[in-house]
Amino acid sequence: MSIAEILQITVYTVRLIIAVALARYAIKTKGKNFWWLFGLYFTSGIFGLTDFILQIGNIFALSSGFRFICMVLFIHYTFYLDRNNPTLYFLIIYVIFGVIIIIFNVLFDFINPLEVYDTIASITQIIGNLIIFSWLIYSSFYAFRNVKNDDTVDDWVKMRYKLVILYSFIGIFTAIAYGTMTSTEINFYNILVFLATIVYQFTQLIAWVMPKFLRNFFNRHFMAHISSSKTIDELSEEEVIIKLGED
Amino acid sequence: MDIVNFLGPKLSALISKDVLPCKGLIRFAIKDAGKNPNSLTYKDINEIVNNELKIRLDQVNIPEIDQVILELNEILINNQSVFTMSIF
Repeated sequence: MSIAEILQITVYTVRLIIAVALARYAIKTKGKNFWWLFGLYFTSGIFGLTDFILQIGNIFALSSGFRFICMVLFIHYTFYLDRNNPTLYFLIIYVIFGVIIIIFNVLFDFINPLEVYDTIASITQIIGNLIIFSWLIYSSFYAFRNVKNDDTVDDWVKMRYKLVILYSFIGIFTAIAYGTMTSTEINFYNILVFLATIVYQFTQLIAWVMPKFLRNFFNRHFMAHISSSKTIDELSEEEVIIKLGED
Repeated sequence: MDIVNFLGPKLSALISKDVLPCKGLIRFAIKDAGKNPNSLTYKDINEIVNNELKIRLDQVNIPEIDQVILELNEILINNQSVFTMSIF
């Protein structure tokens, strides 16, 4: 088995591990956002592995549109409830992108394989990734900026924003790199893409399946702050009313 | 994510009262709604602020409640991802 194949299997397995964690969060909180993110990682893992095992090719591309839509709805349910949002426009764009990718990367490739069809599908993929990751970076950055100096927000949550921003940037790079890759031989550029892919998977794993010891580590200053400020016990109902009545 | 810790200081700043009783008021509002404070979704918090907390604020004669609730809603909307992202 080649390094590229090991990398491929690792990528899809990591995605399935993330999907399991997200399903657990979604069940626990009934959070729609995590169901959509689960949809993205699960489809990506399953379709990727199927593609790899069966070696038919283009099975992964079939799910592209759906994965983009999952991402749009994840961003919507995470950042844009009860406020103006461009979600509908993005949904329309990604339905069109999904259809283009299926037509050029799967259908035309099956009927009459031409390089130009793959190029069109690759460009659509790159543009799709560029738009969606840019929206995720924008949304996460502005949300993070709001809470950056808020000492009532756990530090591990702030770290999750940073990791999402980081992996989105790497996601743009790897999408462009894979979409424009011309050979699989070992050279500086391909090694860079290989390393970026590993960092990309690792940051996603840490962001969404953050183990408890790491969460505690990121939160160490927050916990110290909370412990030092907890000097008075909770007030009774009567005490609350009296205290609020005072000027 | 501890909603009482998060919203307490914000409510305190809005109504110019001590943080501790404000946290208490939020704690009681959550209790009134019959919700578990450790597993609240953004929607739950939104409903609690607009219903139970509003009633509680009215009971302790806080002036301009509608404005306070409006500003709390704005804080919640702007920071919704703190709740939607902080699941583990």
